[in-house]
Amino acid sequence: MRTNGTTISILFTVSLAAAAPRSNAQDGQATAQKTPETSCVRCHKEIAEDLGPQVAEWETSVHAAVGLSCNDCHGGDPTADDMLKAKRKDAGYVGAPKKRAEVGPFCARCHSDIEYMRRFNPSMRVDQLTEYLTSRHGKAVHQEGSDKAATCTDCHGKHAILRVSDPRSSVSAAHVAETCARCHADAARMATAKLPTDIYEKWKGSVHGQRLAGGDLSAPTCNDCHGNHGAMPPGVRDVVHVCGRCHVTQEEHFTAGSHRAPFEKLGKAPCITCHSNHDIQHASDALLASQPPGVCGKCHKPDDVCDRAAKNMLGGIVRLTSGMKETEDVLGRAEQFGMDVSEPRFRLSDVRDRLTMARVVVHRFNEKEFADVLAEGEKTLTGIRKQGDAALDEWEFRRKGLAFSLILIVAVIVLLALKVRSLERARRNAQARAPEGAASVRTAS
Amino acid sequence: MNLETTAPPRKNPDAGARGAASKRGGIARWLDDRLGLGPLLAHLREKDVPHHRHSVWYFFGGMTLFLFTVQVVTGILLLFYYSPGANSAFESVQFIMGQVRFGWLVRSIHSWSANLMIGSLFVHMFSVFLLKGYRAPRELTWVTGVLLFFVVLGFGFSGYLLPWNQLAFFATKVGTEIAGAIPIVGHTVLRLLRGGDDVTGVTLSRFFALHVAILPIVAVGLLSVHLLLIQRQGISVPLSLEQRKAPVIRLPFFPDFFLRELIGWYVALAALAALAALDPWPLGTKCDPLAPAPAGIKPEWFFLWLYQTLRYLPAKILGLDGDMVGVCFINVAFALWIFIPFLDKKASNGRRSPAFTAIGWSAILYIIGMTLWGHFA
Amino acid sequence: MEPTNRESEPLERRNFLNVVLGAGVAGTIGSIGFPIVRYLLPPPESDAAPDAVVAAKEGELPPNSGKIVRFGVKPALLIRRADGSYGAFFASCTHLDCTVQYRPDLKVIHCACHNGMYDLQGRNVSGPPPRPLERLQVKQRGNEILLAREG
Repeated sequence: MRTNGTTISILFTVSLAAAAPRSNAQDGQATAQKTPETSCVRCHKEIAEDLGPQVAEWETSVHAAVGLSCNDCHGGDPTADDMLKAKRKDAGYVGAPKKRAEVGPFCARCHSDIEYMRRFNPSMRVDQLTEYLTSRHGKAVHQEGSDKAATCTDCHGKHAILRVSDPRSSVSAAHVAETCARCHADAARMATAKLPTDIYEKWKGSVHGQRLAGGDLSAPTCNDCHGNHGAMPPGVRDVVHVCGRCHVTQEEHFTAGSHRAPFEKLGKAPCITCHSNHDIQHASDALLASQPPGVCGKCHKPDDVCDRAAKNMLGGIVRLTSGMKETEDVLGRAEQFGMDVSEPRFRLSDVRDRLTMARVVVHRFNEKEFADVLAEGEKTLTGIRKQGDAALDEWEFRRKGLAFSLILIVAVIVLLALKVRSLERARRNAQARAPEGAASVRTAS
Repeated sequence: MNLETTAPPRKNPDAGARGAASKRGGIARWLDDRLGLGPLLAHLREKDVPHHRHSVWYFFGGMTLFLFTVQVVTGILLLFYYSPGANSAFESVQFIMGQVRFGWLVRSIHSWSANLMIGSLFVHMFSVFLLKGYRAPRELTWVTGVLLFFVVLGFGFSGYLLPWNQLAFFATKVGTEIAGAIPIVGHTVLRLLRGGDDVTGVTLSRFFALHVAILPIVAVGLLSVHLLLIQRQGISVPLSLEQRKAPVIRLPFFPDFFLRELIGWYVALAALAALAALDPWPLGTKCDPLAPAPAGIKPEWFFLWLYQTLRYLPAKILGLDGDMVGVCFINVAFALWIFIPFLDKKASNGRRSPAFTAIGWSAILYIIGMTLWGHFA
Repeated sequence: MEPTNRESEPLERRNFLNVVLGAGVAGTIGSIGFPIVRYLLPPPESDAAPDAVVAAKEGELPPNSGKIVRFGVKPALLIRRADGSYGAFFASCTHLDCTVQYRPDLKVIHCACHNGMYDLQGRNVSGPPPRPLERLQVKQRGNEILLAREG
């Protein structure tokens, strides 16, 4: 436990604040969808230039939806018609947080109170503030007194706060990156923090960003690797676990493989040393090459034993890939001719599996294990190729059969011609012997 | 004139019939007693065919008929496994070619024979035209023949869609669009053909019904009249020979002409086998209505000249839609083509009609030229 | 040529010709008829793009097990849950198309390529798969378990 003075003061603030307002919602049940019209809402709607937009924003928020009104955060007496009466200190009026460091504790009055939160959402977490205080943002605000680092409202908004699961929310999976970029792509803000501003653009162009843009909401965005309330860049040693949350098998192979120890010794971060961090591109086979886009050359000298191994692995993958392509062509051609190749096509998925597995096993950096996986695929592929060739041969055989039948047909044609000639000759002979009886050849007038 | 075509009157046809069959065995006599095959056999024995330097053209009619029979037989065979429907048509053809023994052969023959039949039909029709075989009294033979030609084009058009592959789908789309250019009723005809505004599985069902039910009935009806007329009237002697007044040698139909005809059939069979072996009819890829149209989509060769005509018409002719004018013009030309025998009065009176010969040759050259242009364009 | 020969030889030749020609025509008819008969006899596998395939016999799969079967050109996975109920899916992982397996030890559907996991309803629960597995219907006919496309 930290005994740092700031932390203590924060906790103190929190505990004080916890005793404050939010009276109304405690009585009006969480299920109340329509908030009772309080005097705050009534007046501030009338005098639109004074907090009118804030009231309008609040009306769209999750707080309004669960029946929480102005006084639940800001305190005061919502039944009083007179402004002075309503905003009296003894009516519990607290107003809005004045300093950045006050925002977290302000929200945490409710959001860290399990008894209270449970009534709205029994599975909701209540450790956001605790997490936040450990984050880079939280430390900057609460320990270093920064007036720029993010606090609750910077990401969630002030009055138009929506559920994370609401697709319109600034922190929903589809929008959270834009929200982070509001600060992290802003050069002025990042100048003091000495942070790069191209992260968002890099991520947008990465395989992850593209997947998310394509509608796959499970694709990783900022908070999936950095955490949300406890946002912090992962350390060199830990990055493998962060990536491994999704890329489980790669982590397994890497951790058990030959490169873990040297990486640790050299202080190189796993995963990102080869794949980079924010602008991660779809890992192509060419990463294994000794020249860029190959990445082994970053550490290995050309033609050392590892470089050769990488070359062999790359060769193996290229061989299997092109073999698959050729075989698919053969099957496609056979299919065009109407040959049935559904069985070999079905078996082709085995080879595809092997290829994918080989690409994963690469992370073990062990040539033998890699070769074993690949050999299995090559064996299956050879069998399939044979089936495809057999189908094409069968088709050729049919064509030859037809060509052969042509010989028979021509033979019959010749025989028929001979027969016609022999008929004619017989008739001529008959005519020669008995010209008067030429009955078969008639003449027309 | 050829007066022998009508059977010579007999005093007692029954007695003649008995006589003809009496040499045969019991079954033949039994049948003859009930069916009276005598006159028929006598007709076959009496039937003869003029033999001259143009008589090679006579074989194309028989060849077309032979190929039509091939179509009927292979078509019925395909029906055993084919199943129409957007989700089953392609698969069933694939099944026929991949799984059914000799299915590939049946399907390949059906496809190639269709093309050969249309080819030999073109030759037959134009040779009859140039030899003026349509002149009186054979006007109806010509009319039924031209109608059969249209029916066969209909067979070609509807059958092409049935495998439901990509090329067929888009060719049908383009083809039916042309029907939409007919003035006034165009859109209705298009919807009637497609069974909706677009080419879909419904179109496939319609084309299937057309291909295996409606057109066959019409074809068999027309063909019966066509053949009956030929049997009644015999085969025409070309006008040029007739004018020479020289005696024309006549060959007995059986066996002389029949054996020659058989050679023709075998030649067609050989052509079928050669084509199927050299250029196997592919299955293509399954139609995907949402895919972009493949580049350079063209109709089948026998529609190419029509397609090419429409394609190179200016967009506006005398302020009217170019396609519409083209379609109207083609329809009028086809209608006139049917009534050729009634227009060519000279030929019907046994006189030369060089104007119509010229029309025939220009039609041939136009079709060949446009087809080649379309093919290489 | 001698006159006697002129009479007899062509006759013999003609008889020979008739026999050969007859054989040729008979051969043609035979070689047309044979394929037709073979064509009409149904082939062993009687459907091209199956709407349903027989995946297993009843009782073949013990509870808590799975089996890969061929559904057209795609692999399908039939699973029997521990409670004895059946489930079926196209076995192509929604991540990179690897073939998924049933893991009796974990009671999940597992993709070995990248350690993707699906629950026994086919929902992606862990690892890279972005979507649930494509479901198949399981039907029982007699003592056969059938798989069919949904909808």
